[in-house]
Amino acid sequence: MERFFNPSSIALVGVREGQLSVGFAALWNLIHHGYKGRVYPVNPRLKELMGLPCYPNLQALPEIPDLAMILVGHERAVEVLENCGGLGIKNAIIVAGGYKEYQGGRELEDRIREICRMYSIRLLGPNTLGFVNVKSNIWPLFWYMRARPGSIALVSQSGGVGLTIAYLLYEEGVGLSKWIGVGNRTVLEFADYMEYLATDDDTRTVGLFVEGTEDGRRFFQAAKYLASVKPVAVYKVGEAQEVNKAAFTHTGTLAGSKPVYSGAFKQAGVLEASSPRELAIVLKALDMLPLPQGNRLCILTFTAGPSIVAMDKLLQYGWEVPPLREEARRQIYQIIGEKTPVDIDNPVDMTGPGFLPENYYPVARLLLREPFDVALFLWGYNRAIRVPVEELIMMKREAKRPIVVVLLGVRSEIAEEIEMLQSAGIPVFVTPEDGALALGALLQRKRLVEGRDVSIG
Amino acid sequence: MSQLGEVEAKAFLANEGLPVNPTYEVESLGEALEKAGFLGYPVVLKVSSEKIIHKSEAGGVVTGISGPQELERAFSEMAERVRPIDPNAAFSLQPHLRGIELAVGISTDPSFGQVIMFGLGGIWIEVLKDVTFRLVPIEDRDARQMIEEVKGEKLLRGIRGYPAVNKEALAKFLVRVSDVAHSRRIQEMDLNPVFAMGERLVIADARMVRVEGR
Repeated sequence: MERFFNPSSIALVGVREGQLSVGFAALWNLIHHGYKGRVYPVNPRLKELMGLPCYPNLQALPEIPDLAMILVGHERAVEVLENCGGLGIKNAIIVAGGYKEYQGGRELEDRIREICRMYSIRLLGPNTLGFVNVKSNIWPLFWYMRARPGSIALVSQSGGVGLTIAYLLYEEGVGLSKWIGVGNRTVLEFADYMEYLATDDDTRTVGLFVEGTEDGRRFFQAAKYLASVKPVAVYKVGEAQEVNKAAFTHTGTLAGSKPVYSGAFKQAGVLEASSPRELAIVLKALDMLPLPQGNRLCILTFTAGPSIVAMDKLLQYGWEVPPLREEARRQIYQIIGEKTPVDIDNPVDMTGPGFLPENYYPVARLLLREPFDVALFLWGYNRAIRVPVEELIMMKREAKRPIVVVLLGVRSEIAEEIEMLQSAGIPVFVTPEDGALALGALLQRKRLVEGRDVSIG
Repeated sequence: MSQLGEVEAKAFLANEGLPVNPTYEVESLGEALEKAGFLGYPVVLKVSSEKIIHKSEAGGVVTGISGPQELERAFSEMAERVRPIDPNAAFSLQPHLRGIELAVGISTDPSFGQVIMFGLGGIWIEVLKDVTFRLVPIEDRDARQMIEEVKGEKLLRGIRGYPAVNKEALAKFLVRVSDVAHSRRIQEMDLNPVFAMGERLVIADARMVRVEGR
């Protein structure tokens, strides 16, 4: 599998001129993203494309490529695959659809399986956009995508949903290590990718989008193993029964009983999110934050409402927001002024005096010395007031516990602050519920890792 | 494949060390009265027929029968209701239990294979579908999670004068059901209701489908 995701040469069979063809897009992606290996476009009717010489067929290549990306139609693709096998190409992608998800395509899919078994070919797809090894700039992908390098691997049964989650992560300012559109999973299954990602040093966190799988047991075993090594979160579609049919015509797999999947995820130690957006938030949290020592949390804010929203969710996720020590309260009053008309407790609502970084910072620092396991710092952006970015970063360096920032504002207006904070390893969320969800995921993961018995009360 | 009705299924489960409500097949009213005298009232009378899977809906379950006269009436009325469906229908008699109603099931998922389900009985399962699943076999930790997961969990803390369900005992029970299903290749099983009374759990109704040959 290492060779599959890090090929030193790639043949693109069926490249064509014209921006709208999949072959063009795949070649463009490889070149544009700076693939360091050797690229061999194959098309008998073309001399060259994007400055690269084209080859009439696979036999004409100067070497046996590590990976062949097959970009021709569904019938022809099977012939090309067989050709690959004969030449000793061991890794392939078929992008075309029209196999088991379509009535007339079942036999062709069986043929693909047979060819791959006969020649020991590892096949991604068919019916896939391809994959991306973001860290190594390898983009055998026929669609436009945007991703920054990072350590989250996404494995998606749908290209479209996989892209959606990738875009959401991009918006959240976190990066990917791998992006894999598994397609019909005729040969390589979810389990194969999960087993590989368990050993992939570039990947710290794994996200899955699942419609359904035929071999639930193998999926379960692989997921359980992967989750024992690194955090794994999933979004599984199929709350409504009607979704089954739509999923079947999509990738030829019944979406399967949602409650059974949910049970299996819990048993495997996989966190389940309820939407692509939630999955992105959960992945960001798991990827950026160290696990907390315990479940005691403090919140600092100067606007009460959002802290109450966060707290409402946090308590449901199992966090405790315990009262402040009397001594800490006394010290906070000293900072914000004894006469400030507010009852200081946890969440600590500084009200007016909190607008000023020179008040906010000492209180925040004080809280980091109090017996809490995690700090949630809430700040409401106001263009007249400086966000205490430097102070927060300084505290992050000193603090031995996870810090999460909720920065209320229009994302494009606070992009720079978010970027700086996140570069320093402080995850920033723009709504209180996202911040709470992130911390909820963290606590869930902690409980899984500790293998703690579920307390029954 | 073999289908086991209530009496056989309970015998099978008792043999595996699971707590069942002793249940006797009776063919005549005389036999019913005799068994009831021996078990002590109140009792439950049920129809026992391969043709009637949903006994309650066919009018084949009468609970809380408090004396011989009531049993006589229940028996003749039930016979009238079920004989048109199955002229050879038999009947069964068991002690009437009280407690918090639970439901435990085994099914075979096309993708995941053997699966165990847990939920609260009655409307909780029928209407609200408040159930949770795990893949068989489960560990103690999974069983505990299942118990905490159902929305009706609060009811386990005691309702309507029933004592709180002992969750440790319930977790052990779930693991045992899962182990039996696993080792004895049970394809489908319905334990509904299972009555919980503090530490005690008793299977009051059961049916199952097993793979032959073990």
